[in-house]
Amino acid sequence: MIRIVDLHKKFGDFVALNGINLDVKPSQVVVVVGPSGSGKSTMLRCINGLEQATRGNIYIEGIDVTHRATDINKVREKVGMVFQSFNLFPHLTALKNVTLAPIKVRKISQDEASARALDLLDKVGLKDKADAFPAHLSGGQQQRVAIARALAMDPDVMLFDEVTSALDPELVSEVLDTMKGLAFEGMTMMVVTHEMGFAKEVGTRLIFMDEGLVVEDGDPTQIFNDPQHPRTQDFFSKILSHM
Amino acid sequence: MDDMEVTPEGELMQGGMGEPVSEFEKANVSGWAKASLIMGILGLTALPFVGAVLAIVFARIAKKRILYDDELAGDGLATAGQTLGIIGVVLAVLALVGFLMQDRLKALSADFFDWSTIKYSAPKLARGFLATLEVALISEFLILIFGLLIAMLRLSKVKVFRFLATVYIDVIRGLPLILQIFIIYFGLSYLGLNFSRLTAGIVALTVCYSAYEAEIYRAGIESIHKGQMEASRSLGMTYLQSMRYVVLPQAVRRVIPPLSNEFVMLTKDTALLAFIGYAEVFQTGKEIMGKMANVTPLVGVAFFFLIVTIPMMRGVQYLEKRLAKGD
Repeated sequence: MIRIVDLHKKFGDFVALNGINLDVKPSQVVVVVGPSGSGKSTMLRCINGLEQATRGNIYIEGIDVTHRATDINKVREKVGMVFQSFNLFPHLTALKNVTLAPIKVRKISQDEASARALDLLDKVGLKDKADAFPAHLSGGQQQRVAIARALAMDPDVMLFDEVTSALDPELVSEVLDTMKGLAFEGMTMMVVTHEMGFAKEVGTRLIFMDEGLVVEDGDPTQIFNDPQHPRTQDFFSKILSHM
Repeated sequence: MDDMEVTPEGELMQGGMGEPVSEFEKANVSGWAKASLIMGILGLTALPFVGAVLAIVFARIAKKRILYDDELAGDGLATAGQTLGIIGVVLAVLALVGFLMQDRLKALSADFFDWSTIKYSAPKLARGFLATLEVALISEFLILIFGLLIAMLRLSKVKVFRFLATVYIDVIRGLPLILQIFIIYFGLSYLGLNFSRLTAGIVALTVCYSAYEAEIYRAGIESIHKGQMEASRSLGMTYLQSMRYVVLPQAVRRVIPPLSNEFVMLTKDTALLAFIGYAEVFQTGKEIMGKMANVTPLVGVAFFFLIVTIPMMRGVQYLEKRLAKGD
């Protein structure tokens, strides 16, 4: 589904990604953890083209995303992304947030888009908020609308970039539950997060990154119980101590 | 009003003027606002000076509490009362001065407020003012469009577009408008381009103000969080689609106040077209002044400008408040 080959990314002199090699199979739920600055978000953003790789290739369903001639808009139709800061469109209702892209990009009719959008909002538990503006929604509700919005384009893979980090603790579980539902339906997901509970319960694969490299890669429960690499051990000892 | 009682609630609800607001004052905001308005009216009629002073005092009390809550309706009443009060005080003072300086004033009024000149010039000035509005409104329409176009070029990923837009903006903003008007009307005729006065005026004002408004649009667009563009692009929308449906609708809302201020400036700058003989209100006033050897027409010209510019500036302030609430 996604194949990352020797991915490098530099911001000026700062090396964010130092040679990532990764193969994501369909329906995998890959949870990416690591300290700040390890390159987790950068890697995600390279996958859907929000950042340009300095070196290396990324193949999504065979298409080279990093090649200049690739129509990145077409690629993005198949790759959904949910952001830490939600990024809902404040001037549009929840419903219109979800229908905008399908109407403008896939050119489907207003009615069809609205019907599908209401289904998606229902799926994330917010059908009754369809006509609300983002400003009147809580953080958790906004993030769920953002998930529905990304799903509206019927993507093959969903990228989640620390989507619960900006939420009040009580609102985190409603979002994680939504993501859990998605995972169980077989969606291919890459999730950058600090929520270790989610990683253990829903993740099918855990990747620990540090300083632009994949340090450890394997089964979440196994890595939690028996981290192999010293950096991994160090990281987990620090964060799991207050869980 | 000078009650310095600091109740527990009084401490929490600090009026914007930094003084504690007592219980009594808080409970009667709209009462104070209404009283201020009534006093303002009385100050101009039955109770000169005293009524006006009381109007200002009551308005201050009303406003102390409103500033925390931003209760616009009460604020409107209080402002109206305060304005009437200020006018009342000023008029009372002027009346006194006028009474004491009667003879001097009679001479002054002959020069600046001659009634027969006013009667003669009013209709002509009104026609001139229509010409002012014509050039201002047509130009404004074109400026709003061109300004946005140039801003988009300035923000383009294409280096050539960015370069051309930057040169245009820098050069135009670096030259006096009057020079640009002259170049377009007089200078271009040497190249065979003979514009009418109105056309030259529209072209000059549009070229000039588009450069300034392009920068305002640009600031507005750049003020929109980049996450908006990222989210929109991530859904598969193109750069232009994202601009049109996501970024610009938000940016335009933000730039309405500064663009409105630009329109006020534009209206005033139409007076420069007198230098190419366009028959707008200032030019008309100058001509009458020459004929009647009296300065009164200029006062009339000022009057015409003020009835448009002052309401517009107040309108912009009100708009800013309303838009800020929405954010």
